[in-house]
Amino acid sequence: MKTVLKIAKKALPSVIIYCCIFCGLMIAFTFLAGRDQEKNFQATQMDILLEDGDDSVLSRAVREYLAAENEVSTEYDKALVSELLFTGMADYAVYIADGFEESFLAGAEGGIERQSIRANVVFLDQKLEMFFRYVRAELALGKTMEEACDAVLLNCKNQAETVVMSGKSALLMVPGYYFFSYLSYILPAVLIMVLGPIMYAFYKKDVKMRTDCGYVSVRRQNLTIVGGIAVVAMIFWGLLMVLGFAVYSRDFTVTTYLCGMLNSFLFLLVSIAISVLIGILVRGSDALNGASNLIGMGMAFVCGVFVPAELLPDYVNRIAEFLPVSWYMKNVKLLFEGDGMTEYLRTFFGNCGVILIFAVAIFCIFLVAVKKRKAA
Amino acid sequence: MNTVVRIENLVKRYKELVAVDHMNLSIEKGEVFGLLGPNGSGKSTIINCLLSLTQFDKGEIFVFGERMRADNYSVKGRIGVVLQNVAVFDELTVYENIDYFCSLYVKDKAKRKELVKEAIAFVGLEEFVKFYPKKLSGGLLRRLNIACGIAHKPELIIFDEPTVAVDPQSRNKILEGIQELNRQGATVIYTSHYMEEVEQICSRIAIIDKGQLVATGTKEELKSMIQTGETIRVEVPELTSEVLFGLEKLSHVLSVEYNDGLATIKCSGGRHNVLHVLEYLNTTGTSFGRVFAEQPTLNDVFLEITGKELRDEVK
Repeated sequence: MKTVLKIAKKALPSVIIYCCIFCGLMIAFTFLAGRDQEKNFQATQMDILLEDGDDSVLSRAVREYLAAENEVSTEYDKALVSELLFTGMADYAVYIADGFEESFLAGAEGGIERQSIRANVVFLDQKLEMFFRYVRAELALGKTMEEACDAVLLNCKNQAETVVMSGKSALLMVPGYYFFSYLSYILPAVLIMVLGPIMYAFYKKDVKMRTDCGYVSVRRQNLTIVGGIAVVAMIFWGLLMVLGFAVYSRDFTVTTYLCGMLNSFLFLLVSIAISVLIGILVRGSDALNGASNLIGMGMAFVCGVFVPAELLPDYVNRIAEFLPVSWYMKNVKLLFEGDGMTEYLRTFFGNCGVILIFAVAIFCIFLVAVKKRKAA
Repeated sequence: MNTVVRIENLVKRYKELVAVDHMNLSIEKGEVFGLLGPNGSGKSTIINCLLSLTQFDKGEIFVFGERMRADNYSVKGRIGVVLQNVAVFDELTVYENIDYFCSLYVKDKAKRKELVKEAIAFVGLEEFVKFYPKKLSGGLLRRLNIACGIAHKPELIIFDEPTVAVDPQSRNKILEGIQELNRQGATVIYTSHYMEEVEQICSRIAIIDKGQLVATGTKEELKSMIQTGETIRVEVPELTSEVLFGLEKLSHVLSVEYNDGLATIKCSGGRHNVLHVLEYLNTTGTSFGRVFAEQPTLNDVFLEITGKELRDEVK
């Protein structure tokens, strides 16, 4: 046992780094969670005053282009423009002079005046310039002004659709949700770093041969290793549970917390099984580091820990079904999405069963790997 | 003498390959018993069978009078093993490694502390107790490997090629240590393909080839099994076929070879072989340079019995 703990202690610097990342993520999401993210994605409409003194194809196209994303008013009074802009009643004023289209076709810059006192309308200036560049490009292709304007306006309408997620499935969960979510990343990542070297050290062919020659039975040796692993894993999990409770207790009901503990404990078993399997398959500490990152991060990404599963492609979600993290995450969502756990208990325990099956299956693969290695 | 190890009719196959072929061996208490054979001859397989690390197909192995099985821990507790490869934990210091492997045999902490100290002193690693294995040189690592195998003071110690890839200084230290352990009462089984080492430290030797026991006995007994009693090498710039023929006709001369100005004359046991050869060269007016006379080596024994050099690799 003492030897197991000594080997585990060697991984402490890496564990600290992982824990710092974990705590950093938790703090970041504690800060972000609950804030209304939706309004950040709302398009800001400008109030624009527009006077079309040209009434040409191009000037009408300009008006249409601006009106597509802004509030355009044609009640343009030259004497009041400055006052309206100053008082914030309008954001932007555009005056299109007679002969604008003609001068545009002649390649001149004039014929349009723009006024604003707000800095954030620079974007509108740029958009207008872009519009004119596109029209010129279309004209260069031999199109008429009408065709060129239609093409540019059509092109402007084909913009990428922005889907704003709302509700609890988006980034609106309570901080406790992130705590339990990120456990599914940190548990396998850290346990592979800590338990992997233990398994690697004890199952190294020559060391195993020497210990098998000893006075201590193989069963007792295995029990000692299992005991050591259990102690290390439980200490780590226990510390995380205490940390979670200390920081996020206001986000949990007793039932939520107990169910979360059960869920994470079952996932701990899965993580232990993965770690011991990796420990005897992988050779060398570098390979263990790689496996830790690949498995921890890989499963977390695929199973919607960092990016909500709703935003992932369907085929990724289908692959995720074969990974324990996705079942763990389903339970985490149940804990925080449901208005009351009672109605979800059956589903929750069903998912727990699946997680347990994953743990048993991976452990069986581990036993087969041990046997194969012994026979080799 | 008490028999410590008795191997009867041992057979071990790896699919088509017969690694150990009906092997019979008996090792007595207090011996340094050498298993000598080329790489791949089956030495390590015999050791693995003896330690129940691998299952064998046929035969019986008795250690300290008891049938050896994987779960015969009372017998295992009396055996120490120094394997071919260094088998230690990279994560533990020299002291912690020895202490861990000793703890597989000795539970009492105070007693174990004493034993570990003695083992460290025995292999001369006092200055390195807090070092991790990765910081040790190859020779020091080998010494650590030995300390881990002998710390619990076993009655039977098995050394499986402990000097492979070791510098001459460390090799001598290891061989002296093995002799010292034997003097302290341990029975030693020593496997190697270095005949000089086996000749130097073993009281009895078994020569193995292709999994079969070729010969067994003391080094003198083994050497007496072959015809060659002495090999004489003479530097001769020119050797006529008549002189060569005449040399072959001398009494006690078994064979003569002449290559690159060096005549190699193998003789049967005789007291004045060198004298007779030189007298003949003088009488025939053959000029010669330096003369070397060697007693037969275990390599000669192996060569004469198997028809190949001891260091030939098994293909």
